[in-house]
Amino acid sequence: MGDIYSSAAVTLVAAAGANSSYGLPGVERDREHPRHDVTLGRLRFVTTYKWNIDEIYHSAWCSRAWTFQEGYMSKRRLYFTDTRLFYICSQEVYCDAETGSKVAWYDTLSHLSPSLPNNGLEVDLKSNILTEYTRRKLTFNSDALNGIVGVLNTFSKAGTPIFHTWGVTFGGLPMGIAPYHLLITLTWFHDVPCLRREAFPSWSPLGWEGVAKYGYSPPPMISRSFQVEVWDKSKFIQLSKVEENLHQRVGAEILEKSRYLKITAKLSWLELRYFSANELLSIDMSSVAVDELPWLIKPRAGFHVRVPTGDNVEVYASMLPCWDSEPVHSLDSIRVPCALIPAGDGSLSMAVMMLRNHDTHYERIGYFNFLQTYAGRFNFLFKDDNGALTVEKLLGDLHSYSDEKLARDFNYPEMQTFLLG
Amino acid sequence: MASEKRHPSIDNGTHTCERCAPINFTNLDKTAFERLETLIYIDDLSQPLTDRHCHICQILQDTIDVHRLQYTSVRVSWRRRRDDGDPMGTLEFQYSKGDTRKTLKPDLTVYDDMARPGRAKTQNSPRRVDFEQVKTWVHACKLSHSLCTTNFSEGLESLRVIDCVTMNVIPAPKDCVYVALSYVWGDSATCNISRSSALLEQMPLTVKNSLDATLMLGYRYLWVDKYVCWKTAVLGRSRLM
Repeated sequence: MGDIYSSAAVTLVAAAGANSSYGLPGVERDREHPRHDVTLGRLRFVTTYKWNIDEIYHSAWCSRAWTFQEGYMSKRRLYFTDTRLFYICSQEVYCDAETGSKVAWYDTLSHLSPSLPNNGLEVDLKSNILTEYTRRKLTFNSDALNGIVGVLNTFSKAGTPIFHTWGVTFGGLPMGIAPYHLLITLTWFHDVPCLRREAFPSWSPLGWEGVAKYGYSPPPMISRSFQVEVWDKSKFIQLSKVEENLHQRVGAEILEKSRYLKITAKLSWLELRYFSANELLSIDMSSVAVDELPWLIKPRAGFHVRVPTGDNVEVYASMLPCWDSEPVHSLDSIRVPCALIPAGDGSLSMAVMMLRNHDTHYERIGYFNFLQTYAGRFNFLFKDDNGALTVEKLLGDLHSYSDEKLARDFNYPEMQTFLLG
Repeated sequence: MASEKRHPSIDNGTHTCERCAPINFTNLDKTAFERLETLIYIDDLSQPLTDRHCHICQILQDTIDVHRLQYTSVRVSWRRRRDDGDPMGTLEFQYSKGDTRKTLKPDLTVYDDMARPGRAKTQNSPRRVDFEQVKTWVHACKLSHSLCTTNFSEGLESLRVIDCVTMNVIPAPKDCVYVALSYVWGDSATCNISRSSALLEQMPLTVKNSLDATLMLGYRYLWVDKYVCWKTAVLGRSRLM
């Protein structure tokens, strides 16, 4: 499918109207003009909102998952909007509302840029296109991979190839940026819980119907404490041994097996406790210095992650984990198996994947990023022996509150090898 | 268009209403670069804010209209761009309701026509697409862009295309140079594509216009899914909502 668009001399993009009976503005029917272009004295006021390239981004065409691949794979795109005509090829942007026509490249593309090939450095391993793709509406869930696989397969041909399995990209950074490290973009998250696409693995953004976002930190790297194996032909192989994309020679059996990643990582059961809005109202703010107040993040109602510091005082990270699926509300306190993935930047922070046990394998249910050295940047919720709640900013790192428990639970839990489906 | 009908009184006179008159537009070019200067604060968006003869009001009304339902107040600020600015600057709108704030920019771009007469870059697109201009873009691209080269892919032997001259669906000729259409089908009625004789009547307007656009761009063949049954099983998709 993608080949048809990448081989076309020009792709006409119908970026106006909600359906195919709308037509291409300016071909048979007149286009609209901006609502205002008024001169007052020496000043000329021109309405530009909605008339710039965002008009393409806000179109029905740009809201659909399938059209992502069609636009991305095309070489020369001619966008018909209600007011303008844009021409975007791999190297130039033109618009018929600009004298001289030529407009700057990256400045101009704005929201549209993740929907177009980008020849810049890819420190995020193309994960931004997954964010854009999962933002778009898909009519049939079963199309989730087909709608983007053509685009993903193009990255495996690059000088520094980026492979993917079920839409999760992995590969190294181009030589010269850093020593070679193999990175995998498993650390995406959902802002709000969403529905599961059962036919797809839970560790892939395509396994869910929500927008997959990626944090600012680089994707986690494969190391001794975090190893990933993928199914290849007849057995699991290390990521570093992958030489071509699985989905280029797709078959039902391969697909079924490849739904699982074999992960070797630290696995720890973390406790999550539910704090209601009412309970959080009782937080004693009197101990907080006045100049600190604006910086304190007000803890929100929900499940807070208990930091394993020992038993004399309960410490909770005041930032809520990002759930993929709606957490169970019937319980005050739950214990969740969590895969602890060291950050790609070598810092003490950790990506924590919350899992659910399915006997033969685990599935992902949520994600959060945990920093052991908060260094005054985030605050924590404390519950003392009497049950009183306080919120504090940590000045050192968590170890100063800890007996051996933190070290044991966070740093040296047993490495385990398990299937993630 | 609806928006023009709503404001029949716009002319290039200089009438401004009581609220807008004090705004010192003549000093807009003297503000510091990139600093936001509040021009107007409207605290009750539920009231009509328009004096229908006032130019400023007219512009604000139209720009604000879209958002007024969600917010209660709006602050209109001016941000000056570079000195040789083209445009000179933009008006930004910060909407708020309680603690919720949203800034939209640039809704309005301001050009200094006196300093650079006729230099304002933005102009209206022609009412009809100027395909001759588009052809010059495509031509320039073909001549100089190594990244934009397209080749007829080997995997496409069984490609079928619409011949826009004869209006038949045909197997793509060898090394076919064709135009592709990317569109959303939307919720229009289900279509049953049958024989080419009936092709035109069944076509939605977007596809019809694409046939014309293809010819006007100097091409003969158009690929549109649904119309050129190409290995339907492989396509495995439907645009029907």
